[in-house]
Amino acid sequence: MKHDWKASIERLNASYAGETPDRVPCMLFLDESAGSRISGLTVREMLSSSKRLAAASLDVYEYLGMDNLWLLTGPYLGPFEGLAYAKANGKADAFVWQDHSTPLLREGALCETEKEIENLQIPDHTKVEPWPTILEALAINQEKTGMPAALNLSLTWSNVQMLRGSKAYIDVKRNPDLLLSLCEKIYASQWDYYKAYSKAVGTPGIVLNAQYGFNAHMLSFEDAWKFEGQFMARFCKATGLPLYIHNCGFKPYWFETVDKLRQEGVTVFGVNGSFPQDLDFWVGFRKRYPDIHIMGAAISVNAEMEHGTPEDVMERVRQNIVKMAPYGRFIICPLCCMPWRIPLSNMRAVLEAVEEYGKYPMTNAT
Amino acid sequence: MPDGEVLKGLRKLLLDFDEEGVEKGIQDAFKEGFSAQQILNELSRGMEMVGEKFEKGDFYLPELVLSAEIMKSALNILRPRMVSGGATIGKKIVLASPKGDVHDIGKNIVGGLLEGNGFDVHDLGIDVAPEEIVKKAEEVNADVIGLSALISGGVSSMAETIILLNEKKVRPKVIIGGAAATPEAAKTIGADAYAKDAWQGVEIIKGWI
Repeated sequence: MKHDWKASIERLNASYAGETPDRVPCMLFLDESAGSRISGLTVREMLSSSKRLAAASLDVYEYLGMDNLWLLTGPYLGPFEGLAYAKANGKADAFVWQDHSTPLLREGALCETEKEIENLQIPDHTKVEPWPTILEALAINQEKTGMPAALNLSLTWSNVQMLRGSKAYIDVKRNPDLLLSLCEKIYASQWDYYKAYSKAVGTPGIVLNAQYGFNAHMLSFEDAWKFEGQFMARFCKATGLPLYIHNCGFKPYWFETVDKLRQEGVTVFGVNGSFPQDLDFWVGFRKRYPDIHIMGAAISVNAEMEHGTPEDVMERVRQNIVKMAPYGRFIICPLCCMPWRIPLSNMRAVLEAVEEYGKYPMTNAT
Repeated sequence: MPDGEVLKGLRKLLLDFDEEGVEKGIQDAFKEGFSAQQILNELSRGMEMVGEKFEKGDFYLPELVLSAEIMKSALNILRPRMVSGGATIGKKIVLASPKGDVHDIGKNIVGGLLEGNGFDVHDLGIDVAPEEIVKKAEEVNADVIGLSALISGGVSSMAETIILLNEKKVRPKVIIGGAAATPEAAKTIGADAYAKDAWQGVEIIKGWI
């Protein structure tokens, strides 16, 4: 049976608007390894044409039965932005292709020296593959299902790490101006992507930013703001787009980040994370920010999803529903991307649990 | 009798991330008559204080990485003058990002900290096959193998490495870390330890030595 995308769209729209949907929406984001396993395609096959990528992605997400539709090659400015940078700078061989998992740029390969940072060319996202293929695939599936595609950026720390490698951490202390000059280039590249996205897919209504600097095991909050947050704020203010924050780190600065962004005049629409794993934290978050949408809240891919049984997964989803769903503005979403090692039965258990426990009015969850 | 203030000053210089100051302080300490071992002990105490501050949330990765860089420079000065090694000197660690994973920032940070603590680090780099890791461990007679994975496919490769190691007569201890690794994963695949961050990894390894 084909997936009822109209029902998913209505469910999501109700949740985003703070209204009561028929049931709690649920989402999974696959990484390339899980996408490859289900679709049977290698990563290069997926990217061989926009039609093939769109069709394979639709097949896989319909198979999983979730309320979201993503691409098998994650359309955020992560690994494939690395490929685009590598091509734009004549170093395509620094990108390591893998048949059945996420291909990646060798960290630090493009910006090892100050000169390389100075000379770094940003890719033209309308021309440098795989972005034209990915953007066209997003447009195809948006047209086919009516499900709006999402603008997924990575302003800026994950790109800093990818381009500069571990030297970035020394630069934070010893050469912050150099690092900021790299951040400015990344920012310019993400703007270029935004323009290419708008042209190919349409003007986005929201931006989802994957941010990693804002974690207490990595950078101080002040440094995270300096090398990541200020760029997010600049982007959101310049475009007028509301922000959905993705942070799959272990020690996110949730409160500080949301408060600072709001002080800066950014509309924080939602948060997407699974740490901390303490559900009471998320209940507290909901009370503190009743208007902020939560896509999560405390289901980690590295816990029950990887090591538990389907029953364990269902129980964890139930606990999340009991604590979070009554307040609304909530989507069940284990994080981060579904990787290799997660049994398909555990992915399916997420949907089963939502069907079992997540229907409004809530009676089964407790 | 050497003046102990020179040594205490070294510790402060390390905590201030003053690399030139540390190098000069080491020379001053030598002039005052302190041995390389005494200087190393003091700097090691400084590194412990860096670690304590990291665990308390007063320091972050940049401070951890920078202090390790300074310690590496200090060890380059101290090593030729050390009569006998510290507990960690000469202990061999093989590090790698396992097959399928080309991330190396976490591994590099651990490697830097280990070198800063006097370990002899053999970094095999990224995307390293299980056979290659086992071969290198045998070749250098490794005391510990450290594996770091950011993507979950790397955990599968870690598991394969341990399966291969278990077939050998002498098996070094294996510690795993990185975003894709968890205590549960360590248990499942038969690793000897899991480290939640670079500092904890170094502390666990030091505990084994």
